[in-house]
Amino acid sequence: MPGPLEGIRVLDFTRHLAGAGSTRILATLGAEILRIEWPHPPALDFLRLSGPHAGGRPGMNRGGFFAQVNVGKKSVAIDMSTDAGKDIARELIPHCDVLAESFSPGVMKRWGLDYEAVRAIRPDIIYLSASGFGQTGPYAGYRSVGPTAQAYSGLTATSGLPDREPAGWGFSYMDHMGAVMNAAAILMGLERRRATGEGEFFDAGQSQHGCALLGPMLLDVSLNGAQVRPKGNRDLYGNFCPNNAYRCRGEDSWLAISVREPSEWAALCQVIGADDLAARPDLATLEGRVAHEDEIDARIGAWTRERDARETMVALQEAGVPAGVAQTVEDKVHRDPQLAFRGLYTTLDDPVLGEKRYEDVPVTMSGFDVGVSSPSPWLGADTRDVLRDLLGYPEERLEQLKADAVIDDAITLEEAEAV
Amino acid sequence: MSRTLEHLTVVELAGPRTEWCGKLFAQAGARVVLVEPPGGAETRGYAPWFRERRDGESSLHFWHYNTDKESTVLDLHTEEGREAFLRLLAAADVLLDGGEPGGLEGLGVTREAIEEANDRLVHVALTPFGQEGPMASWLGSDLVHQALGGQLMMNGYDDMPASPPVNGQGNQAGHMAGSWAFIAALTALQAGKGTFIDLSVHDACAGMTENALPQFDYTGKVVTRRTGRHASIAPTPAWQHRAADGRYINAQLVNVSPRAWEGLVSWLDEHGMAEDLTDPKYFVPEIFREEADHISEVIGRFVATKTADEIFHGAQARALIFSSILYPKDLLDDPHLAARDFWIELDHGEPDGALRYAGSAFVAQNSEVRPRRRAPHLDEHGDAVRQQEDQA
Repeated sequence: MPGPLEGIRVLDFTRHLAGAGSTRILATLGAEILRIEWPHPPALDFLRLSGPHAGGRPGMNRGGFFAQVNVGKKSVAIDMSTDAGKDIARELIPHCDVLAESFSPGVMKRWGLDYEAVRAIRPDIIYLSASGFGQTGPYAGYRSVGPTAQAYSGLTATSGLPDREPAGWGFSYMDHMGAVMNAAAILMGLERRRATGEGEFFDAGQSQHGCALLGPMLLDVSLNGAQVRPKGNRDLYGNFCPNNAYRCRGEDSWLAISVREPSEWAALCQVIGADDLAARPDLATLEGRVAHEDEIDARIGAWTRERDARETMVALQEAGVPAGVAQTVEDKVHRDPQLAFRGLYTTLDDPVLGEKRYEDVPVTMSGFDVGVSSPSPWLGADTRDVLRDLLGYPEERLEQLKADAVIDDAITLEEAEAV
Repeated sequence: MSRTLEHLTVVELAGPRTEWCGKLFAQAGARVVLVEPPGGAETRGYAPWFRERRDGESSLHFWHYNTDKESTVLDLHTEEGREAFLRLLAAADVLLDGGEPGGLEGLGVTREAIEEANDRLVHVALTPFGQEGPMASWLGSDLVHQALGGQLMMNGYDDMPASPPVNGQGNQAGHMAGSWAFIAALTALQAGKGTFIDLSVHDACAGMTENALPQFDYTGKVVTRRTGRHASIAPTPAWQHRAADGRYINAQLVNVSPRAWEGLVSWLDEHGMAEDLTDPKYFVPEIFREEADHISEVIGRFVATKTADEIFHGAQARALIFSSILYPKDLLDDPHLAARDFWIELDHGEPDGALRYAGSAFVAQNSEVRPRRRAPHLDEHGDAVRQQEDQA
């Protein structure tokens, strides 16, 4: 079966997770991704240098996180600091539906590859510029990684225990969601092109996307003037109560429980043997429970404290109460029957990396193949094939360009291990 | 200006799981028909409320997620309601269905009936755990999904013994899943034929924990939570410092270029606070790593003498990726968001007039992605929708 985006080709200048994660999504849905990169700045993706590394030994083709973010793509090694390299990139544009980049604002323009230049070559191009703060505005030149965007947007400050410093997020949430929103932008562009035949340019700021993800907090501050402050794991607005993570038996073991419906409250009280709470009219409503949240949390916590988190989760879910263990990555890989059933972790073999797990897509689509299917590319693995097949470069020209250090390739395992 | 997806029609069965995806379509100009049950969508009852008005038309949760949508009430428990629903689907491109697995079938709206009504329809089913499998009938919530997904366990405090892990606020499980639903629906439209998309919120969350899986797969070690910074397999220096005005700063030192380091050290030195960081030994990556805690402490002492704004802008001017840790209310006066037209006004008519909303974070050049209309009253567009059907 085909991938739904089969036939869509992306000229990919994205880096890191927030950028390259977006073209990963497109790759898992069937698009052909041509990563333009080089082992040295400016076209180096620093993610290639990040750990963890296969065998604990650094190398451009040994990074596990890079591999995770770049499954299913092709790598075309071009030195973009050379005029000849820029010419090759320009020659590729007519063959591509999408151009995506995540350099600091200004880099693509210096290379003669900004939107105006690219649309002159391919008028219906879908062009995404992804950056920390966007291409315009007083902070346009500011630098950002996930935690920067989370801090600026309000996401960090609203997560934490009351009256403590912010807990933040514990990972680069906005790199993931930046990637998701960037993929969404590209797909909106493609959908509009399908209807109108026209191209589009998107100026994506990771930080602004973070702000938009504050959800109903945005209207609470703009219309009510609210000072939103963290409440630990309790629901900020009391739409769920109880709603908390409760300590269970064993070391650092926690169970999340959320209740909204009267039926869920009744079932929870029954499972924990709290007939007295179930009978109390003042706890029958959500508002009433919010008013007694400390008392309710103490009762549940005392009950879970000596119980196994996973067994308790099953008992509560079987009784109709939303509950979930706070899982580690090890739990997800080895102890989650639903993720196993749906095949979230796909194992791929790569001669340098070995057999490793990759996170697959959260969807199935009837009539289509979607998902992770091939590992990340060695740097330059596809240079020759792409330039030969798309641009018709003869072997002699490829050899000359390589001798001139304009392009590079990695065909053999030895070459892949050498960088 | 034209709107990016103005050619599309989306039918959304009202519910907490579909509302973000529906909003993403609606703000891009798609016609999104929100099908509500006779009593109204569940989230019309969600706080926060507009100025303490606790009624079905004043939920800010509902207002936020339902901008630009049309509301029509259909009772899918009746034959008439189901027929009207299928007529709506006949003219639609996408169906957003956040009911439990088999929910529509249980009401007598089978996949065959839907396909008969419209064989090009993209049917997106968002469920907590997917259509099938050992946990398919389980219930979720934002907290439960972030717990099972792995986000919860990665966040909290390592300097507070026995403290719980802490989840990220703002309905993020819904955002992770709803955004993926949007991606999947748009993707299916490119292929030009009908399909059934089975999206699991649990999968969407579990697949977004950055480096946790590679760390585990390559080292066998599990990342654990650290105060105000990334979960990691080994202790890391603090990133989060308190400024003189009581606000916090995120001062992550990753991929610091020699130029940025020089800028930082000379900045501290100008204030006589560089201590020994002027020593060129810190240009040696191994020493920089070994002395990370010390470097963090020196920076922390400097941050404590400045306001958060001074640190934020001073650091960014020196190519450092620092930011103030803002609270949502701070965004109202943020000059950058203002320059990028992030805040907009939507007309609520009498008596409330124009009210201030967050716009969209998507900035396009040739078309527009931004809300234009407040969320609908219950069944506000019911007559118009029914009339159009009659004409069709």
